[in-house]
Amino acid sequence: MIKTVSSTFPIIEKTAVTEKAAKESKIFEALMAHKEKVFLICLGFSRNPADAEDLTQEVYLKAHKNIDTVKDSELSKYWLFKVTRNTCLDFHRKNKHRRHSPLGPEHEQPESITPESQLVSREKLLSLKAAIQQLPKKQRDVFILREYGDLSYQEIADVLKINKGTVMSRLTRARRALMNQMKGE
Amino acid sequence: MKKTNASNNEEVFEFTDLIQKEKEEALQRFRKQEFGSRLKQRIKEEESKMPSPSVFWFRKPVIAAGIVLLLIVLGWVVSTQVFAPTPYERDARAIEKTLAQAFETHELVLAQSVPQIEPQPGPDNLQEFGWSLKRVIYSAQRENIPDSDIPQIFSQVLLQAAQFRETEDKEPEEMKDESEFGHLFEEKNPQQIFCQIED
Repeated sequence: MIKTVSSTFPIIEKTAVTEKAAKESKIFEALMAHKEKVFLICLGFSRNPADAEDLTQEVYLKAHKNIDTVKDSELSKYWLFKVTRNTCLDFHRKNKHRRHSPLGPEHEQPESITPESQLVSREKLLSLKAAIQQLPKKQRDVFILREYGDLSYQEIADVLKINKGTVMSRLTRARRALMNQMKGE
Repeated sequence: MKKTNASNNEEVFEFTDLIQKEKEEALQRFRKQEFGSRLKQRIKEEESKMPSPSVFWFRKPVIAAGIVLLLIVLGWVVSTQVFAPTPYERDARAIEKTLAQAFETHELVLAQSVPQIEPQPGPDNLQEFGWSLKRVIYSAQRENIPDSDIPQIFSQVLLQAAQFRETEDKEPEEMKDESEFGHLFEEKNPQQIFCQIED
């Protein structure tokens, strides 16, 4: 009798562990569905696609490590975007003084073989990226989440824990500031 | 106004378009690379780097069992009084405490008391008293006085000592009287002397 009772405990424990693991892997799978959005947000924060890809890897590694802190799979998306933003800000802080190639290795082609229109658009993109980096932090966060991550106003509000109205006003200010900067140049 | 709005919209459209192009290019590149497999590899690497935490100690039943065990040990210690002091140690501590209190009280009394002027037996008197006792003992030995008589002799000696002390106590008063009237006989006050003679 005792033997059977004691032998049932590991089974219960094992099933609990496997259930937990299954739940976690399910949440991680759900998070993986947003990998492109995460990559695009990282692209907004970083200066080239290579960095954005590395950052995306970092984000998912962090998410995998801390997946046990996610309790509601519905809200896991917002948690992932928060992790993305924080990882990008950390990266930005660490590499503030590092010089980057703005458009990634495949864009580093000799200018002689680049068509003129492509060169112009590249220059514009460079100045736009620089202008985004110079935006105030709050405005930059909202702008990147909206323009690069394609998040709705409500989603941005949930990620940044601010009002929808604040999101809209910050976005308007960010756009105006960008336009002014582009005009100035 | 309309013109400015239109130009603003154009500019917004322009940089939105730029961003859109950048996103498309980057996404194409991202899709080409096998992100999932690379991530899995990195996760495996990270897991192999990390020291495996002993999950056993973080399990709820283990924690509960540990707490129960600790409580049992504490209960046993309290019930058996393993670390309680022995009766001897307890007595020693009690005596120490009482003595400390007594000394403290004594020091307080000493500090608060007004110094009293009492006639103290002088060193000569004490010596005399000591000699008288010695004499009694010596004579008792010499005269073969029975032991039963010794207390009586001692009481006589002590009585004599008391009388001697009384006379000693009186002596300073007499001297005081003399000193009080002494000034009458001084040469410095001749008028008073004459008055006294007339009376």
